[in-house]
Amino acid sequence: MTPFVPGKRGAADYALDERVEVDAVIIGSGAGGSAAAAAVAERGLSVAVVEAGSHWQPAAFKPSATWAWRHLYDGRGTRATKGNMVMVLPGGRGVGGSTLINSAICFRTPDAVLASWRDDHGCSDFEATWMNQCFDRIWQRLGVTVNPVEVQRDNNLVFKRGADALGLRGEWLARAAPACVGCGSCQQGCNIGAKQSSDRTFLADALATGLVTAMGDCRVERIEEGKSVIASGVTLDPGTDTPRGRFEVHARHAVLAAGAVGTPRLLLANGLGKGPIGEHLHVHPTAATLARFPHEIKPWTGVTQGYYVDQWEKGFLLQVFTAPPDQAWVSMPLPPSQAVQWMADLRRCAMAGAVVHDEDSVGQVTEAGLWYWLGDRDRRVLLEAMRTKARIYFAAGAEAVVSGIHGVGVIERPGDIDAAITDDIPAHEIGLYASHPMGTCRMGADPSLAVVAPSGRLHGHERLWVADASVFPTSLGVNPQVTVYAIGLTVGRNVAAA
Amino acid sequence: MITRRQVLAATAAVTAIGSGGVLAHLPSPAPGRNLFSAAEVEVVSALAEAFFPAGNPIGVAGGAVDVAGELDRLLVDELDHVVAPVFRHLLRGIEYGSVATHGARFSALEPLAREEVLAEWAAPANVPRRMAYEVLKTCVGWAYFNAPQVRAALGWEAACHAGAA
Repeated sequence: MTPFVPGKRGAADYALDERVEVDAVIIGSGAGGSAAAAAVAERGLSVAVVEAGSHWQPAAFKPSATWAWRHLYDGRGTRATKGNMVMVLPGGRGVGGSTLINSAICFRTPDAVLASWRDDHGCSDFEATWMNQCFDRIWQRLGVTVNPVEVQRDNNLVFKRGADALGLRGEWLARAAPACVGCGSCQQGCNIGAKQSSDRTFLADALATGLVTAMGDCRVERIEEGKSVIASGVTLDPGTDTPRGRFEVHARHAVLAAGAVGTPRLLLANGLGKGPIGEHLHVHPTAATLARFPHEIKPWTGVTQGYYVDQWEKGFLLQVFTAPPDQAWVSMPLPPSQAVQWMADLRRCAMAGAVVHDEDSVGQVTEAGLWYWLGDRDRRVLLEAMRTKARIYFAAGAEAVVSGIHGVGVIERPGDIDAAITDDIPAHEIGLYASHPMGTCRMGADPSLAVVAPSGRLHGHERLWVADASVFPTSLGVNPQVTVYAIGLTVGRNVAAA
Repeated sequence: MITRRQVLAATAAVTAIGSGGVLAHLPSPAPGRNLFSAAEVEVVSALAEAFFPAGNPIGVAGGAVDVAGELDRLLVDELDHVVAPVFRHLLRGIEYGSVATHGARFSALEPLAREEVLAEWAAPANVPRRMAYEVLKTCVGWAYFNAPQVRAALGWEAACHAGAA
């Protein structure tokens, strides 16, 4: 065995045949993996956190979407589902996982959802007192706050103005970025370290115990369970993503926290677990809306996603977002000359998306594929979300609106919204994207219906656990990172006690 | 009417191309290029000029930006390996598809005819062709909008990254 070396380790640190022995190996370093690592280590047990991506310092992040996709995104940003449309479904890759590239939005798990998970799915470990303790700890550790108005800037302010004019309930989004200066670059990594991603918080806490080794540039390929667990794979050259050597981590327990795409794929590839592995993929589908105003907005300035409108009872939230020019270009389903004109006017544009609480869509992760069929109810909810965004922008003074729907074109009057965005628009006409894959190893008491037991332990296994968004029994309906952190703390507690 | 079969066929075709399942030969790179042959450079440049013609409202012509050079770099250095073969096969599609519709290869067409071809490919009714158009548009857009002079023309700046690029 290689001597246990606590701290951060990367490609340059490994022997050609690296072997580590710890109490618990955690595969994935995002919200779930980092929180689980902290929960296990603070109880005195040794941990190896294994991550295929690299360790990053904030100053290394570059203001380029394509650079970020290459270095910080799973599949270099090309991860997408097939089904009744093609939908981009990005996920993070790197020590910090998707928390490196998210907008730092924080929501506690809605009470109704948590109650459903407990009462309808038997997730008894999500007991209210414990979960509230977790949420309080997460809120404090991530420094969750609402950023000052002067940092929000016009892309968020116009949306609020329109929502207020229509009497729609909305709020400033709570975010894990207390020192945010509003540069709008969250999806390319926070260059100034203001965003409190998991590597800067829970993983840092875990490392501070001296009991954790965080192994970046290590891709797990094989998991074997016997009297112990062996997670093995290849160490990677971060420049080329090609194997340099091999590693093994021997542990009493293994926690899979590779996300709702990565975790089921690991289970399927290794013949582990049973039940609906990879099934019940939910994603919170959305599509973009751009609105042009008579005055400058500069949508690339201000908090990336600072304001939201709550339409929970209708099945969605609306959230401001921003995108660099090349991504704004992609989200405009207009004839070429019109799209170019809108790009020329980009500084006068505002942008918003939605979070649809998907119910009747059908999604699946297989070893090689990603599938998502937007259901009829979810499609109509999304279309209503698109209409609502358009109304908000016109109420705020927009002169024209483009929805991410092919064939709709530019809407120039609020009275035209309903005729333009009709309920019969099929899924393949909607420029869909999503960022919140979940549910593919769902948790529940019944092993015929669930992959993971209420404790987080894989049904039918002694030493394997799951701590990421794949365990969600249903679609969540709000941005998921706080829920995932809480799951990590819960499963980590249970692993330490096992 | 667009059928589900059409959508499935389009996605399957894109997947097949991206998976290397198409046996059609892709030409060798031209000297100094990572990927693109000389002919492919011509088509990419023609696309850039068609999407962003001289005098366009952004103020920077596609021909004034080395879109082919930047895309040649992006496809190797930054984008996933599945994108390059898909894009290169779609280059062939638009280059030679224009012969049937406009009597000449895309790169040989006059600017107005090129814009007509793009508008036809962008039309929502033909879903597989529209999806192919979206790939071409996206890739050319990545390269064009990465250019410093284009970002300056748009007024875009990355506040937190000043000096870090």
